[in-house]
Amino acid sequence: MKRRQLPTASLHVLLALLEGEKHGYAIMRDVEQLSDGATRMGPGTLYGTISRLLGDGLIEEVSAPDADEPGAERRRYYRLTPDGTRVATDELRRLQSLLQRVAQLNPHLGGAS
Amino acid sequence: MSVVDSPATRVYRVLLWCYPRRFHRYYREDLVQAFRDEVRDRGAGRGWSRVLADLVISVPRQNLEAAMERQTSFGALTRLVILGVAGIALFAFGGMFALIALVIVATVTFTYWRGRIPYREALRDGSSSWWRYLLGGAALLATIAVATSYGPDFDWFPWAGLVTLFLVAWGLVGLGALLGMVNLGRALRRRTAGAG
Repeated sequence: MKRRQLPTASLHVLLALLEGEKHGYAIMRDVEQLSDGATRMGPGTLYGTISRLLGDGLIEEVSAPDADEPGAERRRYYRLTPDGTRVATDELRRLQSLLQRVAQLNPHLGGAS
Repeated sequence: MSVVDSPATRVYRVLLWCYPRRFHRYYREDLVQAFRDEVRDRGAGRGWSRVLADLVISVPRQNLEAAMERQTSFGALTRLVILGVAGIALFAFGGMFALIALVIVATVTFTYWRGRIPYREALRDGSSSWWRYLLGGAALLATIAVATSYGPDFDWFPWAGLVTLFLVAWGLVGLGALLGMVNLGRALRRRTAGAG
């Protein structure tokens, strides 16, 4: 089944989670780094996106690695589900192929591939 | 270890009540934690500016989504009874506003049962809230119609309050219509996609 293209915020969250499980603020920070500062999410946007991705079964909650330590801050951690990993890698491939096609059609752009 | 909230965090906690109840209940502490991290890493000025911009964007979106996705707790029979009672009450008390309200309710009901427009899909698909707004607004309009019918008998009648209520009623009707159209658009798109 062909999946509808992901919204930018959702895609960025999935890409940030490709590295492994993270809590919300780490995702926010990584999204900003990944997009070179172009995408900046606030907490509400982030958790709204997380809520939708959880609903779509693309990410899942995991227990915090340091949850049992005394004095540990209460944080929820998230990781990609197998479906989420597949969607993220498919989306990366789609973007790569798009860039390649654009570079082929516009050789004067140079260095795009 | 319990963390004592700074005054800024307390203000942010209050602002979080703008989110839908379920979202607020589930993510409140995560949002607050992210806010604390943001202010710690970027400073109060930049942290607040980002968070406020985020609230402006994400609060309406979350509320709209919550309104559209809330599952109905009323069965078809309950809806029928509510519509019936509302119809009888509107007929009984009459008045211009009640007539307008009746037309709105009748249009929604008629198109729903006629089934040509996918109202049923729109309602079944967790989109029950819009008609509550619509009915709430219509009920308020009917109440105002009754109040204005008997109002001149009272010297103390709060006309300013009535005008406010009138605006609120039309606001509810407008919101209900807007949400209804959004849901309907979704249902139509799904039907088109299913047929294609």
